[in-house]
Amino acid sequence: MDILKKNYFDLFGLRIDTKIDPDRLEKSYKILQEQFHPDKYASATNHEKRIALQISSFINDAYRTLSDLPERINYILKINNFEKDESITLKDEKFLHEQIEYSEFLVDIENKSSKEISKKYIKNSDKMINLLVVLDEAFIENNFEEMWKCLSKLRFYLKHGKELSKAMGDM
Amino acid sequence: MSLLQISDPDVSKKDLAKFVVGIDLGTTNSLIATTVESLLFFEDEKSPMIPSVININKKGEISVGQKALNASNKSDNYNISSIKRIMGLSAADIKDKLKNFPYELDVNNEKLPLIKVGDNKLSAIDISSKILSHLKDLAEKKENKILDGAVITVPAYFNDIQRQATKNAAKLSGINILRLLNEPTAAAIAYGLESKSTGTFVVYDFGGGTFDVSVLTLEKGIFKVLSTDGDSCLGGDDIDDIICNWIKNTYTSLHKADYLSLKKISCQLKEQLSYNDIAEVTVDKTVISLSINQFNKLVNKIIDKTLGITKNAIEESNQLISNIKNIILVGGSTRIRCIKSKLKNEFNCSILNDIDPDKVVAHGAAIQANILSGNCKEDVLLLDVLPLSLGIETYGGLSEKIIHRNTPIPINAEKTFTTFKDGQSKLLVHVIQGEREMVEHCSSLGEFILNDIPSMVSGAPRIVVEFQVDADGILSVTATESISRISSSIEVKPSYGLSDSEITKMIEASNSSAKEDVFLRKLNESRVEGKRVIYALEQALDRDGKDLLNTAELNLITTELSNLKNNISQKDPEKINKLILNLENVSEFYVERRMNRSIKSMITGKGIDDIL
Repeated sequence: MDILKKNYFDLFGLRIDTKIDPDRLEKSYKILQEQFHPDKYASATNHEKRIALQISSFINDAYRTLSDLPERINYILKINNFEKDESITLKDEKFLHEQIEYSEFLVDIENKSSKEISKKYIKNSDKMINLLVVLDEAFIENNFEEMWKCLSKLRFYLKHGKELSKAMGDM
Repeated sequence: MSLLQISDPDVSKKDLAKFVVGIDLGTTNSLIATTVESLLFFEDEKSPMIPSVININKKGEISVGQKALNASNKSDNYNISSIKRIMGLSAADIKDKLKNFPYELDVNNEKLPLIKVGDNKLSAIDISSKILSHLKDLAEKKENKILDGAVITVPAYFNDIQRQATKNAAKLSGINILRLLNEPTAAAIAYGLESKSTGTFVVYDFGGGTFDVSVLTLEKGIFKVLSTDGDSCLGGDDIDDIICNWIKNTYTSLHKADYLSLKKISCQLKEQLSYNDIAEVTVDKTVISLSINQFNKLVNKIIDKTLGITKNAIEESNQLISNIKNIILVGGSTRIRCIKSKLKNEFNCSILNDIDPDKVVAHGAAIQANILSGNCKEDVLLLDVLPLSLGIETYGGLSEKIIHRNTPIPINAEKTFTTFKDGQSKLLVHVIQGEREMVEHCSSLGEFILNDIPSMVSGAPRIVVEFQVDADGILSVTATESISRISSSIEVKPSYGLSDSEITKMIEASNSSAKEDVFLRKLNESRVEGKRVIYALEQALDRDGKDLLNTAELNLITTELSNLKNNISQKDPEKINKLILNLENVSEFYVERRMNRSIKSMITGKGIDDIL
């Protein structure tokens, strides 16, 4: 099937980019599922049902991938044939220090004041904003190695942002 | 040239409509409804709430529903209720999750625990299928028609095994399942279509044995589930258990009363407290009295647990609580009054419960059945999600997630495996479902042995395993070796439940009293399938056959089509099946052409840009 060979951005009529218009993604997604969801083929032939299942699954996978920033970046790397073995991790001394600092902070988060936690949270968000600027530049310059580095850091900041905001919510 | 059958102009549209229903197979009660004409609930002794109870008397005779409930007062017979709680569970799960499980289990059968009832041994699937048969009979008798199909609801939080068990129960009862539908989603359809509500909603579904919560958005014709969470072992039954214990501890005269009669008293107290501030039940001159304040204290822990799960689901949906328009209440247990006030307090939004919380799920399922059967042209699309992550066991008993929970379904994912030893010809893949990191804390769905791996040095074979989850949330697995392009065969060993061949055997055994029955059933199935294929293809040809096919191709398809049509009334299921297969084979390229064309017209032709 032709559709199964499309890249995810094309599928939804989007430009390949680290930033996407979520409303547009949502609208295209729904238009496509209205056409291909298996429920629309409930009384069709078995072959049509099978194809609908395949296409609908493909659309869902594309939607899930593009909706999520790290997954989207990962996908851009993939369609540019830039793939690294999962076992390879980022070697960056400054970043390593940050990681250690974070885990030390998290160890006794129960004893931290809400002020300390929210300060940490803001610092984390600032780092993420700066990172996204670097990421966009790397994307424009087709610097996939740099994009891959940003992706590793981004995943880290996102995870800790979640943990910190949960800690704030629990207080 | 063959003459096409022309439909009789006297046959009214009403008679052409398929007889389809929605079934809410509940823990305590089940409901069956249709919306083919207008909303109608089928009743058992004048009540739409049909007890999910079966009764077996001394002679081994089985009664179901209201009759079973009435018979339960007699001492020399067995009564089984709340069977939904053990659907798809292993004997170990039952011990682990249900402390008050009142029936004797035969644990010799590891895969499928059996309940001992006198001389009989019945599985949860057997019992559910008897309930489903009873519902089917009630509907067919009332309408005097054969049932064409049903949408059956399941808790959103049901895992693959529990869903498969429900499907197998329906198969055993001879019901053609159009779709398994998640209960909160079914309720949302009823609300969405009846009250035309739009926006983001939380469905809080607290039933007899299960608790589900789904966050979804409703807009014109599209119901999109964002996240779902729940506990498939938390419901009204647990509240009854708490009251049972309270009675035992408070009233010494009832210290030794049996579980089932205590449960009955508990239910009565609970029900009274949904209207009154004090409830009273008299047993053997003892007056048991429970105030609403005491009751609230007793159930506080359980209600708080449901609130926690609700919070999680909202968090997973990435919606702000301030974005939520309403919380829709579903399920009989939402009649507990403090739930409403607690939800209001916690989430600060209004509560919707204007459709009967007992009936709303069956109502929504009936609407969906009517849409899927093609009876009505209502444009409704349901986009649901996978409730629990799917993964495989990796080194050290750890789970590696392959498809994460709350991913929209249908969905597929691929995973490449390789060998550890030179010339290794077999590989074992253990598929699991659940969120926990250790395999032992997840549900085991089954083991797949990849056979016939071509002989290569270790690490060279590339075995691609494809995991496909369909719209019902049920998983299927296929594998191929990508270098030699040999498709490895897979042996499936379901951890619990039944394999396809076991189901077929059971269906045949249940009809073995008369061979004629088996034959007629097969014939009927073949004819229904044949008619469906004919109808689907004729519709397609009518629309675009001339555009997409040249004369030779068209002839090829119409020849096989009339071949099937001419033979469909013959009493030969094998032949009909063969002709269906022939027809499907010759029309395969046409179907692909049709799909490709609609894709082109949508995306490349005018482009999605013009649609937006």
